[in-house]
Amino acid sequence: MAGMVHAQHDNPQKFRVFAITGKGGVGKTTFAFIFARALIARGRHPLLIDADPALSHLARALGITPEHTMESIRAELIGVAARGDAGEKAIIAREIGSIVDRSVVKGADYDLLVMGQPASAGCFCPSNTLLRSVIRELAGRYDSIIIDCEAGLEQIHRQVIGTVEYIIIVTDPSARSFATGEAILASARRFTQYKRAGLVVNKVVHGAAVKIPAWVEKEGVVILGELLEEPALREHESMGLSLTEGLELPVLESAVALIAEKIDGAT
Amino acid sequence: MEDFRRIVEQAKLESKDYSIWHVTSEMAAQSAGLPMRVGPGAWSGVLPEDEVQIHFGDYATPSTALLIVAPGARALHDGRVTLVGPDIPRLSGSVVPFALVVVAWGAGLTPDRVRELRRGLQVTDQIEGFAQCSIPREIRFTLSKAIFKREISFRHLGHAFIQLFREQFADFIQSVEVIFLTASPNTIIALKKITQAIRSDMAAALRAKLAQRLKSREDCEFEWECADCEYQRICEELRDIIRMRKDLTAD
Repeated sequence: MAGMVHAQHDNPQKFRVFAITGKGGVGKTTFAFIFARALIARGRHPLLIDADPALSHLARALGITPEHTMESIRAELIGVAARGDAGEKAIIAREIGSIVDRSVVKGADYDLLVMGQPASAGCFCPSNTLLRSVIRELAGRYDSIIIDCEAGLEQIHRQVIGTVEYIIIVTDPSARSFATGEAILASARRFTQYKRAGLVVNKVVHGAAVKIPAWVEKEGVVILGELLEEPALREHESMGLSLTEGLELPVLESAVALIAEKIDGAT
Repeated sequence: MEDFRRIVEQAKLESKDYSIWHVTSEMAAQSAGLPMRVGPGAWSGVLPEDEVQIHFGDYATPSTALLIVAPGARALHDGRVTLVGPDIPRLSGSVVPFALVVVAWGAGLTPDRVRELRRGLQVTDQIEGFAQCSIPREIRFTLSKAIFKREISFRHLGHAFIQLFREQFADFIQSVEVIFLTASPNTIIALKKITQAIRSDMAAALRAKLAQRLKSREDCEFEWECADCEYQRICEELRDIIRMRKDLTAD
């Protein structure tokens, strides 16, 4: 993919918490990474949250294998609760903030928090409540939070963060991908109190017209832009390389920078 | 409010049979002179079929009870009781179409208090001999033979409702008016449509409130499944950890 075909103007409002959503395989993770770089270029230091429970795509794309994930911390928390030892409980109540803080992979330009794959049989909702409050405290220290989500937002709301301000729906030009986007928006309305939703059409073939379905305008979704397919990226991924390993996508990056500008307002 | 007034005025024109009484604040402060006892626990609230003199509505005869919040003090006549149609002593037959409308206004009325006011229509055991039938989505009343023999009028029933509303909701209402209709079934059906619209609005507001509550839940998203969950003890321990952390943060 490369290059933005067109862009509309969004309000120059400073949004802080972004959820990148969309059907599997549309390029959410790549977009999340490049969008993060665009925000970094604008002077922000984002916290990236890899919230895909099945496979930590974002962490992999960044070439990072985190020592701890939120799920491993959750498992530890549930273990303490299962043992019911008052002393252990008091320690974890005191230390949970720093345990989560230590699980954040800290980089020069951005930090990364990986949710990981649930391993427990029960729902253990109070553990979500506790971790969500810790993440809320942690997230409060960042000027931007970018959450790379799986398709739906229910799990994000339940396990990650209660407030998502801007939902970016990434689609490819297929009807099925747009249909998933519509379903995601319905789910977002149910589980979050988002302020704005935007659409990015990815993997657009050069010269091909993209048919934007009527629900996009009807639901007030801002069309952020169309990104052309980038063969170099596909090749890079097929070699199992991370996005940080010698990949240069200047056209795509400048297109996403325009999206960031549209969302963030002109600097 | 305008719809309701229009329906009542139309009914008055068609029926040409209406009465208006006035219950002063002094009168409404007590039930002396009424042919029945009024107030919480005034009677059992249960009226067996063989003791019923009049059915106000049944499966084939429309009935309704409606609370309307007036938009201002000038939009209602405080203490006024209006009857459109024949009064109780003149009612022929044992089943009559019936509507009870209470119009209230108060400077301190909030949505929660309006819901409370609506519950004021459920008199159950508070007006001797005037029983309420609990049928989902239908409001019907019956009057006892014993009270009928005491020559009860809608003037007395209106007095009772004004007294009960003034006593129970003194903190947030300043004016109450009561209207009874025993006239044509079509008038009652028109009023029922207003009731249904209010009920739909209330249901929508409740749904929105529940959805909002679900969105902001802090504790357990699957509470309704927890009763059967084998990990309840662990969740209790986790809640304990949350409490401990809150205490630590508070310190």
